[in-house]
Formats: sequence, structure tokens, C-alpha cells
Amino acid sequence: MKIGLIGNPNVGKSLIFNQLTGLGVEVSNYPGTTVGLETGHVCYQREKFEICDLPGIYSLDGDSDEEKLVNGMLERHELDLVIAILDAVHLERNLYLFFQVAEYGLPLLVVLNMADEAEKSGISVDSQELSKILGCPVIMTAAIHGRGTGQILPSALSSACPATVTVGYDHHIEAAVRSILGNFPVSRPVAILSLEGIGADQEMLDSSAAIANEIENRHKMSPRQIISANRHHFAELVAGRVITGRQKKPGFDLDRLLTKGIPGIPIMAAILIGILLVVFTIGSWLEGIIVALFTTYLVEPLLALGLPPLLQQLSISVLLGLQAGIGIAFPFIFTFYIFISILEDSGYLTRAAFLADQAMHRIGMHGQAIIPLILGFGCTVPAVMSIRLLASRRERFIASFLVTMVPCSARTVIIAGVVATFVGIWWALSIYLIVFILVVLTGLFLSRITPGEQFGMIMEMAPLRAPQAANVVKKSWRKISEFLTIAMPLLIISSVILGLLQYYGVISAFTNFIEPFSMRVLGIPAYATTALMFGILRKEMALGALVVLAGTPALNTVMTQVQLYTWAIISVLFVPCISTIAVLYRQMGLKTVVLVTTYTVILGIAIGAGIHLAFP
Amino acid sequence: MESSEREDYLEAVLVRYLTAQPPPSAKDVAKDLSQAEDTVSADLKSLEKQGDLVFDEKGAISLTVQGHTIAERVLKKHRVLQCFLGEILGMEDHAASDEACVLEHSISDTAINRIGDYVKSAGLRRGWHRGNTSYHRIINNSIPNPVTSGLVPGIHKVPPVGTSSDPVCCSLIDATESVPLAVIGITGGEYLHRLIDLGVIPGEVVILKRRLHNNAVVLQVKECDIALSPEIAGTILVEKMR
Repeated sequence: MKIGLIGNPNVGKSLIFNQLTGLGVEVSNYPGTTVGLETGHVCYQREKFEICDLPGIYSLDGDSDEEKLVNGMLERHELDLVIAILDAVHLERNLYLFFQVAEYGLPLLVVLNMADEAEKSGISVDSQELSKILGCPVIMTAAIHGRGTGQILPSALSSACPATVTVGYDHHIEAAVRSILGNFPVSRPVAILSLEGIGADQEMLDSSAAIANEIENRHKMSPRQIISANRHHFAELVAGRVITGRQKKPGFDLDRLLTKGIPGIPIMAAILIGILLVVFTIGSWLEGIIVALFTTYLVEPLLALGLPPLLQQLSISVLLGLQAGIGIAFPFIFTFYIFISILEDSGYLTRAAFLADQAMHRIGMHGQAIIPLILGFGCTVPAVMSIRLLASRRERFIASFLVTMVPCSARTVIIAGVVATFVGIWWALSIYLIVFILVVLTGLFLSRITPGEQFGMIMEMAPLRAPQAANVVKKSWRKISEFLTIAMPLLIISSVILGLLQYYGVISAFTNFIEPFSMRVLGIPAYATTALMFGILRKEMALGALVVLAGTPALNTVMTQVQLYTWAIISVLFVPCISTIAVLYRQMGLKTVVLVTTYTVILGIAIGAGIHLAFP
Repeated sequence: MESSEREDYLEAVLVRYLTAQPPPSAKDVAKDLSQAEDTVSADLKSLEKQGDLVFDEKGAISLTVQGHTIAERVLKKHRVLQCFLGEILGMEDHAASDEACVLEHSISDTAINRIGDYVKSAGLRRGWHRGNTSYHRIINNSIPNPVTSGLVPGIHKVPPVGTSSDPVCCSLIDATESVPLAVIGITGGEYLHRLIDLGVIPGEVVILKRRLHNNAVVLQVKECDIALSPEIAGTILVEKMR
């Protein structure tokens, strides 16, 4: 039996999904789909149920991938039961989607979530009255505190039924729907959608368009506008009947500060820089511990075993791959995710996006694009995954370039470990400045040449909430495990390949081959260029390789300061790491990957060569 | 004078306006309708008395709002009928036009609307929207009034009907913060449905909560806050609640 969770974005669907599928049950992720449909299984009374967390949408008649996905599942009756999750505080707006879902005639259970917030703001919803009007069961929950969520599955299985409520559409619309239903063997919701110009059957769309035209001529409003207005008005009516009390406005609105240029922008800068500093401090401390543990308890005992050389090389490579993954994942990315989850849960990110809208316009994107860019400071992989929230392909294309250029935590390790240590802290900061300038220039350039129209930003700003510690940790954990499942196998495989290359002498052959180019063009020793190649595997590994190939951790004794600076900036800029390439390929396709990779390689080499020219 | 004659005269004046730059005189109208100039002249004078048109001192004719309304209705009917007879039924061009000239005076509004809808949907199926001029003429069915639209420096400057110059109606970008505003309409395109989903529909009362100096705005609709880019905010027309 398949159960779907449907609701607006930000009503706590995923939270309820996690609580339903709960601990100890398998939550599977289907990557590869563009719209991230998550399903999990749950056993209840010895029966297995499949639960789908459908993407949050505002209505079913849009043309985004999310809307099409949900619409398709309802239309093909792929779900046996629908749990509609509504926000009790914004019931009216949420009912709009519900009425549309109800038309499909599937068994429904209404979950009025955020009952706690509604109470706090002085609203009370009469759930019995609502149930009577809608004609299907309604239960109240406060998922954030786990209140009432235990009731969802039992109530759904025992009492869910198709809603009896129907929106009274304008009689012209009703007549048109009847006429479509008379000519084509489709369901009522499909007929309504085709009147709005949505559907797959061209013949039906044509004949609907003719009727729609007639209605538009008479009303001076398109059927889509009439239908939505009818739904909105009906929602208003229903909400008015079940809600008592008026929403109290809090005396002090934090948004007054956060969405104003001053002090909003300084606050935003302080928050972001603060997070980066804290993540970096905690990260390097933890990473030191993890690397030391690996070396003492795994690498050294392994070397002491005295295995045959090939086997030793292979097992060391596997260990190095593991160490690479864990050494970066937990100290940096996990810490970063904790802060990002706090920002996400509090609702602050949307404020930042609003403030950044103007700046983002200049580089061809909209406010929302700041979210991937911020994520990029933690790890490029999830940042690339998040570019799907951008509305148009044009924006996603531009974002693919810019996000891969943002220095992720691994690259921060290089900047700190090489430049800050051996050259100077201000020089380290200058790398950030250079990257920032390059990002802006790239954005300006791409926004000029990228075809496609620019969509404006329409973004709901959910009310600010205090994040819950347990949810933040769980969310960060889910994200980090997503990262590990994608990046870990890649890291181990590529580590083994590199190990084999080293074993068979390919690496030293490459060093000899690259020598002339390296010294003449970039002005850095050949082994340093070879070390850069390790950066393809994991950015920070370039540093480890450099130390090994140079034969000493005191890099300033073998390379000049200019060489170290050049090396660092090339490794920051050139080629996204292998995991980024993989996820970029999945999100944007081969062409974009090739373009991004080529561009960053050329950019890295050009900047390196430029520095060599300026300071020979 | 019969009403069909009156309609023919007004239509002829309007067609002149739409095709030729200088305002027509009685002589031009007579030539177009192939009738004697003095009869036409006399008839036009009587139409001036009825308030359908005005002669200026040089004898050039402009339509009044009343005259334009009649002329526009007839011309639309003419175009629909001509397209129907010519393109759909396959009559020859001038025969279709002549026939349309007769039928346009007696056909009812309902019938012409039905025929118009039929022609439009049939045309769409046949791909006429990609370049059939007589089809295009009936699709773009608004015919500007040369006087009120300012195409021609008319004698009778009448304030345009329907578009209020009242300063309380403006786009969201120019609206006042923190007061209730009623949405009048949205002139936007692609993203229209997203706005509709969020409840930004004509008649809805909204509050402009914040406007940045770049005109990005935060709008409160149905108790929810929505951030909008300047280009979207600019397409939403609102009116201050009285």
C-alpha cells in the first residue's frame, strides 16, 4: 500500500515523514530523479506500507517538475491513500492546494500541523467542524514536538476516505467541464486542468482551448484565473468558518531588522563569516584528531604487517580514501551542516536570499541563488545538488559555474595550510578576494552570454522559528550520509587508481613529462604540479601529496613563497573534485560538466601563469 | 438614414484611420464607398449632428467615442465574417468581403462571438497563428480609437475610458508600505500562475511589508510573507483601500 504526503512547502512534511518512517526503518533515497522523491517503508500491525514524501508545492496546475510529478502520481492513482498536511496557521492558503487534491477522489486524511504555533498566535481551529465540511477525517499535530504524529498512521488506515467537499466553480466553468467530460473519457480534475491549458492530449487541449476562449471573452478573465479565484474564495469561506481568534502580531518583529539593507546586510555578513570561522576552527581541530587516529591505529599497523608491495599499496590506498572521506566529512562538512541546518530551520536563509536579490541580479541570477553559494563554502557537492531550487535552466547553468568556484572547506584547508602558514594570513585572505572577484566576473560574463529568459523571484518567507536541537542534528546527519553515499565510493575507487598509478611508476613518468610546462609556465616544481592532480580526487589531498612528494612538511624550505602562493591559488581554482564532477553530471548533464571543468582548468592555469609572469 | 448606412460610413472612416495617416475627408469616404460625394457629404453632416463624428475647419473627420464604438463593433464583425467566409468556407476574397459587408449589419453579437470562437480554434489547429493576416486581424481584436489613443491629434480630446488616472492606483513598486492594498490586476506573464497560487488575485487585500532600494519587495498575502523581485513587483497593480 502506497501512502503519499502532500502539502505546501514548509508545512513540516519532511519532519512528519521522518517521524512516520522513524528509527530503525529503512529510508531509501532515489537519487537521479530531478525532484527528489523520497520513500520509506514502515511496518504497522504486521503490514508493510510505503510512504512517499512528495515535494512541497502550492498547486497542481503549474509546470514545474515538482508540480508535474505530484499531479502525475495523483492522476495515475499511484497512491492508495493521501495524507494532506496543512499548516494550521496558514490554513486558508493551504486549503487551496487541498481542494485541488481532493478532486482526485483518493482516500484522504487531513493533518493540521503546527497546532502549537497556531495556539501561540491566538488562533484556534475547530478540527471537527473542518472534518464535517471537508468530509474526511482531520487530526491536529505539532510535529516539531512529536505531538499527535503517532495518531497519523492509525487514523489514516482506519478512517481515511475521499473528501466530499467540492468547490463551487462559476457555472460557465462547470458547463465547460461537463462538455469536456462528455467528449473525452477523462476524470473531472483532468478536465479542469485541460480547461486551464494543461494536459497531454492535444485534441482535448484544442477543444478545451476553444471553450476557454469563449469564457475568457465573456468574463474578461481566463478560466485559470476564474478557477483559482473560486478556490481561493471557497478556502477563505471554509477557513472563516473553522478558525476563531485573530492572529496576534508579535510586539517585536525580528524581520524589521533582518530584511532591511541596514542592519540586515551587515548582520548577514557577520553570520556568514562567523560560521566560516567557527567551522574552520572546529574542523581543523577535529581533522587533526581523526588523521592522527587513522595513522596510529590503521596505517602504521598495516605497514608493520609487511604485506607484498602491490597488496600493501592497494590497502593503503583504500585507507587513504576512507581517511579522506571521513577526515573531511565529519570535521568540516558535518559542522558546517549543523550551522546551515540552524539557518534553514530558523528561516533565515530566505531573508538572506531576499537581501541578496539585487546583487544576484547583476550576475544573472536571483536571490535564491545565494543559498547554493553559501552551501558551497561547506562542500561543493551538496551545493551543486541544491541548485535545483533555481527556477530556470539559465540560472542553474550560471550557478553551476559559480558554485564550483566558491572555496569549499577542503580548499580552505589548503589556503590555511599553505598560504596562511608559510606566506602570511593577509595573503591567505587575498586568495578569497581573488576568487570573489573571479566569481563576480564570471557571473557578469555568463549572464551576458547565457541564453534563456530570466525568471523573477517569488519566494515565500516562512515565519522565523527557533530551531530544535534534535531536528538540526538529525537533518545534518541525513545530509552527511547523503554526501558519504555519493562521495565515499568515488573517493575509495579513485584513491586505489591513483595508488596503482603510483605503484607502476606512472606518477613519476607524469612528473618528468610535466616538468617543462610546470617550471616554465607556472613557475612551480614538477612534483607540485603532480600533487595538484591529487586534488582532483579531493582538493585537500593535494596538500598531503605535496608534503609527501616534497619530502618534508616544512614546505617553505623547498619552495619559495611565490611558488607556494601560486600553487595554492591554482589548486583552489582548477578542476572541481571528482565528487563534484559526478554530481554536476547528474544534475546538469555532460555538456555543463565539460564546460565547467574546462573553464576552471583554464582559469587556474591562467591565474597561475599570470602570477608567474608578474613575479618571475 | 438607415442604421446600416450609418455603420458603413463610420466603419469607412475608421478603416481610413487605421490604414492612412492623414485624417479622411468626405471625399475620401465617398471614394471608398463608391458613392456620390455630395450625398456622402450631407449624410456625414447629419452624423455630426448625431454626435458620431466631428469635422474640423479643413474638413477632416474624427470619430467621437460614440462613433468609434459603433465603427469598431462593425469592423470586428466584418473581419470575423470575412475570415470565416474566405478562409474557412473558401469563398474568394472580394466575394467574402462583399458578403461580409451585407451580413455585418444584421448579425447578432452572440452569433458573431460564436463564429469568432470557432474561427479562432479552427485557425489554431491549422497553424494560422504563424502567419495568416486575416486570422491575425481577428485575434488582435482591439482596435485603437485614433482620437483617444493619441494616434491622431483629434479635436475632441476625450479622457480615455476605463483607465483611471487616479493616483491611488499604481504598481506595487510605487505603493505605500504597511497599509492595506487591494490587488487590481497582474500584467505579468510566465510566473502568473505562481502568484495566483499564492493568493495574489484581483480583489485580494495585501500589505506591502518591505521595499528595498532596488524595489525588491516583501508582500503579505493571506498572512504569509512573500519576497518578490522588482520585475515581478512591477507587474502587480494595486489600489489603496479607501
